[in-house]
This record gives sequence, structure tokens and C-alpha cells, in this order.
Amino acid sequence: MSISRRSFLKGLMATSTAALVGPGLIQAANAAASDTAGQWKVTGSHWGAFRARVYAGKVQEIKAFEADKYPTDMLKGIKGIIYSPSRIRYPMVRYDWYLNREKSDTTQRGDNRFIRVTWDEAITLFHDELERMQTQYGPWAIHAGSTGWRSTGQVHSCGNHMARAIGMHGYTVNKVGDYSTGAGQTIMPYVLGTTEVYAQGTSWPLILKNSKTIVLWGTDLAKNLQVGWNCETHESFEYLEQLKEKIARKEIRVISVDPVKSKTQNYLNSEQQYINPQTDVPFMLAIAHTLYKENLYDKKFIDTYALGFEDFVPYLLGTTKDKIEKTPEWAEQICGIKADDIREFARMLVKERTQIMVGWSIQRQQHGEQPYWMAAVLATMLGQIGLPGGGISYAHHYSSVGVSSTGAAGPGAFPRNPDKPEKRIHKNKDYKGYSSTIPVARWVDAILQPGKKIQANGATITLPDLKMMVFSGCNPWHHHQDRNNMKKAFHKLETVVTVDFTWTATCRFSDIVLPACTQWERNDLDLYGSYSGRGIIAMHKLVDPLFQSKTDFEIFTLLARKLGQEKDYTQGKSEMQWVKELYDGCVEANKASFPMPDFETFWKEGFVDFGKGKDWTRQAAFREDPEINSLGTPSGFIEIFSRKIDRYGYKECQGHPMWFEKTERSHGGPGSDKHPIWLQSCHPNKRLHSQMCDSEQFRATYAVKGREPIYLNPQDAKSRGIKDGDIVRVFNDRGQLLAGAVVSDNYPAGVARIEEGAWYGPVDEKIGSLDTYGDPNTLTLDLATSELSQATSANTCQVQYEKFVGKAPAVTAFGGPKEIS
Amino acid sequence: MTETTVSEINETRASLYWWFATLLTKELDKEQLAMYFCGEGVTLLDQLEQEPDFTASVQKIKSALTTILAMNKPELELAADFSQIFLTDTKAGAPPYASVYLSKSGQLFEQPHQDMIDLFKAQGLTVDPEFNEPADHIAVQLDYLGNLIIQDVNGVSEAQINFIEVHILSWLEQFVKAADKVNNSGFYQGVCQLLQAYIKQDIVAIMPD
Repeated sequence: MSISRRSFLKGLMATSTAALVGPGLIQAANAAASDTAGQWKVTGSHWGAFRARVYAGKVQEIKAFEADKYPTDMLKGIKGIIYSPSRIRYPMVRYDWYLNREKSDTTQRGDNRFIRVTWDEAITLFHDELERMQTQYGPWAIHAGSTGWRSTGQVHSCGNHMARAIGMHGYTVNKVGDYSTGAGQTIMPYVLGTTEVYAQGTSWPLILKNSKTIVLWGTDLAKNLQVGWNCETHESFEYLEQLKEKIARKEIRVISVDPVKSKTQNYLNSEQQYINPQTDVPFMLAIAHTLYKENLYDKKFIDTYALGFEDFVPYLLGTTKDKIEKTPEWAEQICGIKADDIREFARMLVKERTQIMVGWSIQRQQHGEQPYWMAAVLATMLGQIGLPGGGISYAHHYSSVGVSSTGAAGPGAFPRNPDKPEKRIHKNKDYKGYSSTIPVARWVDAILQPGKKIQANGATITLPDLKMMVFSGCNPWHHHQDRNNMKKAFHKLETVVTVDFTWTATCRFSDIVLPACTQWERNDLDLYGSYSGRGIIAMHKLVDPLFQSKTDFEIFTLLARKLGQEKDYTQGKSEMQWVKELYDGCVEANKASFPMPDFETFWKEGFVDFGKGKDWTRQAAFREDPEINSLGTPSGFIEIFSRKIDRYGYKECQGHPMWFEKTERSHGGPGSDKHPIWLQSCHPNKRLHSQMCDSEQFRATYAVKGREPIYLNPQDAKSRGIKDGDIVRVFNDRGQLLAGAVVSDNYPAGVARIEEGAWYGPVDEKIGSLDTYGDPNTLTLDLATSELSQATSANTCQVQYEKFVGKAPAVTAFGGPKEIS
Repeated sequence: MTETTVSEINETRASLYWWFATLLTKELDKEQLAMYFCGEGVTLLDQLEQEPDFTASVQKIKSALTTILAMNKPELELAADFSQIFLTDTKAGAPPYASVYLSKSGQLFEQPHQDMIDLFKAQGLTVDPEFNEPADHIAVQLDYLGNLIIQDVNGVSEAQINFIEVHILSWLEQFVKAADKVNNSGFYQGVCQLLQAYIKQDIVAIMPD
């Protein structure tokens, strides 16, 4: 052995290295387990329940829960979330903020140095900022109310933890509404008495038995039913399968009113009624006009169940101030459907039992209240509301809506509010004239235009002068519109704190980033089937929190400890004690009708199944007796005309549904000369919003040259010299992005799709910089639907695109924050 | 050569691997960094610099230290460099995990991690739960290597050579290249280069004739 030549190092150790060497990283293990194959555990997710084999501290394989007969392909992406290179591994602080706090150079956001801090220091910094905000400004300066699709699990529900812990410190600004259904959930209580978007719908077996025609209005069931708000059961897919058979046997006719051939249409092999984007209201008005003129509408139903038809008809006939009769000929010019076809469509609707299923897409656009309201007016004119297989629904594409409910109670959740009597440290509720609650999509406006007064759902809102944002399990740099506008807004913020398990763009634009673990690194429980209430699923911790991540429960317990309120926060209970408490509460609530095993048995078995529910018809009770079972509207009836809304005096949402031209619209509409393509940014087929985009191998199954796909019409693509697989630059006056071309006959001329949730990865922090991966909200318009909802108008978006030539910049969206310089 | 000499050399080798492990485990605090401005760190770097194969990388480290020293908060600047290379950007940085370089998935905790776990398991060892990093972290590997060496009181076992070749050299070059692409003071890029130079020399030295 020739080691003599190394003698120059002799004596080195003794003289110098000893002081420089730190403690070891390896230690003796406890008695090694003889386990060689690992252990199967059960857990849940938005994508469904599954069993996971865990061996040597690692999730090795995943298989769908056996009760789920239609598991989503996305289960293949789960491991990629846990072991993603984009995971936040340690508490991190933006370096310039660390040095200069509120005086930091905020224009650096998005191109940052970060430094690692200990949990102790991170929580201290977080706490000190909350403290500074409350003392230097007041509750109006902190927005800690934005929430999104948290990971599933009732104990660790991250929004609740954030709200409770921060609530123990002081008051903050909060939000109302959400990005999915902002317009729908605001308008529908005026019209049908509930949000409708989050309401159980008529059971599928009744629809399959009674409907002769199903109209899918801008809804893609097969795509969106893959995920659920709680643990998803996918029972709806059994019914879609039956529907497919019935269509083949010509027993049911299904027609999609959609510019695009949807996944559902292709699966069902059903029909399509093409319509120009954003022109549903003219089409609906012309249908109503036909029904009225041809005397096909149900007068008796309207007389018994609805109010205000007579106030609406003059608008239809063109005798009100716009002087436009809403004839099929008028509509044809806008919606692109031949007048005679509109008439035929109207006649078809009344011919037999017709179920109208409306999706959420048409209310995620400017004046999104109108198509929802007008669809309800149409359904009222058809007179089938409350009949099995008839009427209208706004959520058959969502979670387990349409799967009959068992009626069993699900588990409660970790409390969102501080317990009474409250020991809130800062009791100051003086918002200095600013509003304490703002519509969810208006927070960027608040940062940019503090003090501005806006109308919202009958109230006047004064936008607060926000200085600090706190996000937990929430990714506004995916779900909010207009990235470049957001960059400007973030220059004005003093402090941004984000809790997440993965380096979303929101984290990258933050100052303090706290690593939560994923939902599979903690114990929890969840309802199985959000609307069906099919059962309770145990969520066994698969592996311990990776790196320095912690559960939401632990993170906010640390903050509460800082407030001297740890015991108040946890109520002295551990994670498992909370799991048990929520389960026991569920046992108690169900004891009369659904006897449940004790906790230990449940935890060992992994689930409790409540069986199949009873079929049910939406609005049947109202139809049976509208006096006793009145709707939740001001009058208790269906409101074709709303006096309440009329009294608000809004310009873009008046007393009855109306057609309003859009700020931008394709097919000859405003702005289409410069930016001719309508960009739709619907819910993704291979993700849950932005969740799972960081799952590397799964993303690779749909990405095109590493970029998010843009789905293009063949003619549009050809005329621009673009082939399938090319990189495309998509742009308008708001921004620009790169995406990978998928050319498909499913898309008509003038229409393109980029699914929302694609992670934002700009080449640099500068305003206007090119997004390298393909986040459609780089291009969308940050414009309120109307004064009523102030909701997002993401689907009002015109773009142009071209073949990208030259060397495409590397994708920066994944793997953590970038530093460009 | 006496057995004592072999043992001394092994102690030196182990200490150097542990030193690299320490540098790649976490950021230097103020006191630790001070030793590289004036103290044991300077002595060590000076000695290493004399070895021709190490000169370039030691000079890179020294030059970085000079740059950093001129800054307001040297230890924080260096901590930010450490983050940039190892802790945040796994795509443009140099994540210190073999899995990133050796697995097709590009995920963490892939086969190289499993291999280390199996190796540890067989010997009743585990990664310190406080550290809680994948077992294919470069610092864990170097720490383990130091232990292997120190146990070989009288020479160089095949296990040492095998470990270096299979578990470290399989990805070290890619790791060092990835670090080189990051643009900052260059301290950790220098450390990685020095590690590579040292291990290259070491493996030649300990190979049986």
C-alpha cells in the first residue's frame, strides 16, 4: 500500500482540523426491525384514497383504495409530490429582507437570495412582524385570510391553523368568496336561494332514469370529477359509464354547449353545440325569445314558483332602453350559432325531460353572474325544476355532487377561531375606515390602490392599505390573474410570509418561507365523499416529516407558544388526541343512524363505510310546496327579476339577466383584431389546480419539451407555421409565456387552452419578463366580474401566439427560488 | 513505514473527510468563519495549498474569503451562498444528494439513498434524526467514510475503496460541476473542487499496488 507519499499531511489533524470539525451525522440505530417488505398504510387525498407500502422510511408504492372503482391516473403523481426536488426543506428567509426588514429592496422579489434560519428564529421573525404590524399600523395592514385548496385532513387543515393562531394575536383583514365560483356563489342566492355551486344535485340514478336530454353547459365532468374537496370516491364515474351506454342506445341525448370538444364529450361520444366563447348569454336569451314567441314555456310553473318574469320579458322583446329584440338572428351574430339552430335547440329543450348541468367556466369571466342567472331563467321557463332528471344544476362536475348522500355526519375540524373567552393579545378592531373583509380577488387592487372604494354585493368596500400578507397552503401566484400586475403589487408589500411544503411561486415571492410537511407525513382523518358522505378514511402518517418540515399543527403551535398561548391553542391535546377527538365527535353525531366502531378499531381498519345513500331530487320539496319549502331568496321564489339587486343600482349587474359586451372577446369581439385568440384557462386534467405540478415524472407525461401544453386549433397553428411539439410564445399587452404546442381537432379556430395551475417561472424578476413554463395567469386580466361579486374574470382573455424561434430559456418554475444575477 | 504512521495518516484522512463533511453539512457561524480569517482554518488552508493538486481550489476558497471579509456581514453572505448552492434551487444549484444526479426520476430519496440506508442498516447505523437528511447527502457519505477510515487502524480496507468508488465517485463530478455553475463568492465551489481533488489523490494513494 503506497500511502507514504501522503506524509505531507502528517500532523495536520492535530494542529488544525480538530477545531474545524463538527459533530458527526451518523449514530447507532435502535434495534433494527426485521421488516423486509414494509408495511401497507391507508390514507386519503383530493385525488382519492389509497394504500401505500412504506419500507425503510420511504413510500415505495401506491395503489388505489379498493372501494374506489375508478381511481384517477393522478395517483401516479403522489410520490413525486413527497419526494419532489421542489420541496421546501428548511425555514428560509429572503436575504435582503433578513438584513433590512421592511426597508428591504422589494423589487428583488422573484430573484432572491435566501438564507436558512432555525425554526426558533423563523417563528420569532414571523411573530415580530405580526407584532410590528399591529403596533405600527393596525389590523387593516395584515391580510391573513386568503386560503385555497388546502391538503386534505381535518386536524391539519392549514387555513384553520393560520386563522386560529394569528387570531390569538390580533385581528386581520379577511376575504369573502373564492376563485372558483366567485360570481356564481354570489348571484345564485338571489336567484335560487343557495350558492348552487356548493350544493348537492339530483342523484345520478334518477337522472339516468328520467332525463331524455342532458345539456352540459360549459362543464367537463370526466375531467373535473377526478378530484374532490375531501377524499374523493369517484362513484360518479360509474354513472358516466352508464350514461355512455345509454347514449349509445339512444336512450339519452347529451349535448355539450361548449366551444371545445371536452374530455367528457369524447368519452361519452355525445354531441356538441359549438358556441363562440363568452357568448352564452346571447344564446340563452335567444332560446328564451324562441320559447316566448313560440309559446313553448311553462306559464303555470312561472306563475307558481317564480317572480319577475314580466319585468324580464320587455328586455327580451327589445322594448327597454337598449331597444334590441333578443331574436335568434341577433344572437347568431354574436354567438355564432345559426338562428334556426337556436330555435331548434329551444324546441328540443322543452320536448322531453331535460337536465341542464352548468359548469363553473362561464361564471369565471366578465359579467359571470349573467349566464348563471339566465340559465336559471331558462330552466324556469322549461318548468322542470324539482322534477327528477329535470331542472338545472351548477355542480354536477364537482366532488361527489350527484352521488346520493348517506346523511351521515363527517368529522369536524380543528377549530378555526380562538376559543372563548378570547385572550387575543391585540384587541384593536379599528380598521381606520378600511373594510375588514374584502372580496377574495380584490387584494391585489387593495395593495395597489389602498383607500379605493368599490361596490360589492350591496356593500361599499374600502380597500385596506395592506402591508403584510400571510399565506398557508395557498398559492395566489397560481390562482390570481395578471402576474405582472402582481409583481408591481408585491413591490409595495413590506412582508410576506408563506407556509407550504413546496416552492410555489408564492413562496419564491415571499420573505419568510416556512416548510410544512405534506399531508402524508402526519396523522389525520377525513370525510370520504364530500357530498355523498360515503365514509370516514383514516390518514395514517406514511413517513415522518422530511427534512426540517413540520405539520401545520406544530408550526402554528410554535407561534401560539410565542404568544404564551400554546395550551390554549392545542387545548392540551396532541395530534393523535385531536384525530381521536374528531373521530369520537363523529361517532356521537352518527350514533342514532350510523353506529361506528371505536377509534382503535377504525384506526386499525383504516376506514368506516356508511354504505350507499338515498336518491334525491334537487328542489323537489320546493316544487311540492313552495310556501312551506320556500327558497332562500328574498321572496322565497325563483327570482327572474331581483328587486334587491335592482336597488343596488349597479351598471354591470342589473335587476334581471342581461347581455353585456366583454372588454375583450374573440370571433369579432373587442380586441380580437390585435389578439385574435381566446385563451381558456380551465381546471387541469392532470393536476388539482397547481397541486402536483411539482411532481417531476408525472409532469413529464403531459409536458411538451418541458413546458405546459397549449392546446391549439390545427388551422390556427398551421397558419402560424406551428407543428405539434413546437415551443410557442403566447402574448398580449399584459404578459408573455412559453408553452408547448399540442395541436388538436378538439379546439375550434380562434380558441386555445392552457390549463390553470401551471407553475409560474419567469426568466427574471422584471415586470413583463417571459414566463418559461406556461402559467396562463401571466396573460389573464385582473378585472372584476361586476360590482356584485367582484370575482375573477380569468376566462375573459385574448392572446396572440407565434412559433418560438431561437434558444428557449430554461424552465425556472421548479426546484426552488432562482437567483438570476 | 511503521503501523503508527499508517494510523496517523488514516487519522488525518478521516479528519479531512470530516472537515469536508462539516463544511457541507451547514453554514459556518460567525466563530467558525473567524477561524478561516485568522486561526486554524488559515493554517489548514495554507498547508493544503502547498500541494500542487490542491492549489487552485484552495486559492479559490481564499479569494472568496477575501471577498466576503470585505462585506458587512460575512457570515450571512456566506450563509446565503450556501443556501443558493445547496438549499434552495435544486435545478440550477447543486443539491447535495446523489439521487438528484443518479436517478432518472430526478426525485429525492431514490436508489442511492436506499443503498446508503441498506448499508447503514447492515451495520446498525442511522442518520442522526436531528439532521434528518436523506442518507445520500454528501456530508453523510463523507462522515461515514471518515468512520470507515478510522476503523481501519492498520491500513486501508477494501470497504473504503469500494465505498469511495461506488457511493461517492459515481456522482461527485456532476455535483462539483453543478456547484461550479452557481455564481457567488465561490467559497463552496472551491470547497467542492478541493474535495474532488483530494479524493482523486486519495483513491490513487490507497489503491493496492
